[in-house]
Amino acid sequence: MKTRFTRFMAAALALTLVLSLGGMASVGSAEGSTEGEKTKLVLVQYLGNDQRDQLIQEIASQVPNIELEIISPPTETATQKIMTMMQAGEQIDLVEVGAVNQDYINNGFIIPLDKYVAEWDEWATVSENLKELSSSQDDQTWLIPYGVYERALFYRKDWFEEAGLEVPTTWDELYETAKQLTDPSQNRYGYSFRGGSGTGGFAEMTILSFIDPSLVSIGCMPMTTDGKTMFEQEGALEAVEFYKKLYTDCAPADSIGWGYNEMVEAFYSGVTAMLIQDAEVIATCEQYMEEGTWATAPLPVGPHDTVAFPGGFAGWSIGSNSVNPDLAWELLKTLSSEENNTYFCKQNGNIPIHTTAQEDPYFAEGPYSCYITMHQQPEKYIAFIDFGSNNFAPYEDQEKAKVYGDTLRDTGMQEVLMGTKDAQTWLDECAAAYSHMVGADWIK
Amino acid sequence: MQNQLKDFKKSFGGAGRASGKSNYPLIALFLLPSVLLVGVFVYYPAIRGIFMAFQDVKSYNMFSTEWCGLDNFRTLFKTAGYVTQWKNTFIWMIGCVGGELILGFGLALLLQKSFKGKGLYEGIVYMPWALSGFMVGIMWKWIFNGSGGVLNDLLMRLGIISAPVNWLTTPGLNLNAIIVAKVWTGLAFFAIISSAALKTVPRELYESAELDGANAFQKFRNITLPGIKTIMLMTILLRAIQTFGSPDLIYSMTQGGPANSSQIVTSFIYLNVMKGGDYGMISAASLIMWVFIMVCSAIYIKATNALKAGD
Repeated sequence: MKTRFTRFMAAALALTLVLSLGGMASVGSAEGSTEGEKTKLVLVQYLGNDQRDQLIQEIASQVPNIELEIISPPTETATQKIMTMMQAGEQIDLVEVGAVNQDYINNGFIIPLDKYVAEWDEWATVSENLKELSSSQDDQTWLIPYGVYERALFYRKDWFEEAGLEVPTTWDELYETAKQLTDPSQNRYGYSFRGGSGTGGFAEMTILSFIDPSLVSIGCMPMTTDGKTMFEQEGALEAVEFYKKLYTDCAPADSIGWGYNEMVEAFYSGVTAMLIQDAEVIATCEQYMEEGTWATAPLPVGPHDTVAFPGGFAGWSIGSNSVNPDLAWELLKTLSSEENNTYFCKQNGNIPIHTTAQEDPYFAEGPYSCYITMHQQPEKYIAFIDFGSNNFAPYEDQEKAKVYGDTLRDTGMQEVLMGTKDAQTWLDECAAAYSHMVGADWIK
Repeated sequence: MQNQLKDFKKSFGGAGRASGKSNYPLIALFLLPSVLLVGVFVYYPAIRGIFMAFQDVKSYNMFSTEWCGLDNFRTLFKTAGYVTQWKNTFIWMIGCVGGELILGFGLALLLQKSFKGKGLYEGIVYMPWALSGFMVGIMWKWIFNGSGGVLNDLLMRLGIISAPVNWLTTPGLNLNAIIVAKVWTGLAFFAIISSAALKTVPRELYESAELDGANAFQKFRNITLPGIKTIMLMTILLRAIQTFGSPDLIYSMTQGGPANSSQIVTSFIYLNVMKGGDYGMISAASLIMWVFIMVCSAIYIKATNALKAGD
């Protein structure tokens, strides 16, 4: 009896395994290579939407014999899901990245692109700054950017004209103007303040705009060129106090919970008069606001006549589990050509990656023109790599500094804004979180 | 019970054995898919999670199996606001379950009487129970919005408040606002269970009590409450465990902020998993939560057995 039962169980298990393998094989053949003559490629992105997917598909159709599947996990959980997909060894030919992703590199999830870019003619016209941002410390290229997200000042042109106000060019002017436009009884506020998730990023930008510009390390923020941290520099305290003043005097108290969506919605829905955000908001304003009611301007500058802001960008890397890396490169090259990238950026609200494309009247005039103004004065408008130190610092050092991101950057800043922690204490705690990196050789 | 067990054995094993065949292989075959699925998707991740709580697993070395003793627990206890998370968790559990119980039970009592359109009314009242937690969170986030929310607008029009209240961004107020949303969605659970429990109380007892001249309160205290006590206590314990493990509303309404003022243990874990980073530390937090739930479950099982024995 026992033997019969064992035999039956063995047979059932074998059947299950065979069926599973059959299932896997069928998955493999579907993802593997060809369906008829077309090869199926998979692009995974964290910023997906229908319009953008169609745009990518439209450009991808120029590559012969491929069928592109675009996977867009929900934005909030995308990072985690993409990581899980990669860990599970799923086929990912192109993956969207927001920087040189050290986690992907360290886990062997993406491949270097040096051999491909070396043979690509149009690599020459890609912005030098972006090339640097796309490479790791050992100068290997890991991604091709598809667009730049840089901050600019968005303002209600109609409100400014009505009140006879000039567009602010300095942080002090921004504060004074915002204060004048603030009228809580009308539910109208001068500034769209980001006090929720991401508030620390705006605080960092303010600090770097208040300290001596020669100390700003473009590649190793939050470290400074003197080997210290930005939190202990002269001007940092003034910056944090200014940041708090902007919240208390010019923004709704509720904005301590505002993230990206809330701050942008407050601007286009007529609650706030000014907003500092990335270029993709131009498309949002065009969609929701009447023409002539809004405009953009270069970022206001700090006491040293400079402003520092994160030079954000996003791009695509080739996954190490790609079924055909050469074909994935063909797709990436097509998406990144000057003509296609310019077309993509116009539709997607980014600044193109090719310097030659920025001369296009679409970007040189209208709401994008402020970016050209800012690009022409790089000493005044300083674009830094957001947490560039992560590209150089050893993992152990990054791990020790984790307390900054976990408890100080947003949560600690919220305590400062609510008045439960004083600005100097917060700065001291932030400096302490990075104290082990002070004087490191890799700071540049 | 013994007879039922015999019948079960007879129908699945005995009959086959009598005819020289056993049905156990067939039973095993039917059980195999569920055993495999539960094993792969529940037990394997759970056991892996226990190991990870004692391993140095970060986002940059996800395949690491390096043991680190109790380091993850030390990191967790040093995390700012960890004590507040537990304090908030108890406020959250008591507030949600208490609110749902009182309102749900009250609703069930009201729905004992027949009236025209009762079915439709019940359907409307029970509907929030079927909604996704994240959807409910987004909806209530806009109701409680400090700048343009419906609640502030309504209260100002009624002259109850003169300036907008920042429901979700004022520490001390925000967790209570989320509890209101949770009670709104969860009271249907108690209403359904209470309604079913009330139907188990024999009508004759009320009729006898009326003949003896008992008033409504006396009937409620001496007949209704003892009659539904067992079911209600079990429901409260079960719901408390469920509420403890549901971060959806907190995540979608405040993400535990500002400055962790509305953070509970499960929302902290959820937030950190989504953010990525220190998976070892997150596993340690999950393990502590698991132990807590196991203790609650043990109390639940013991209480259930005691109540059954009492019956």
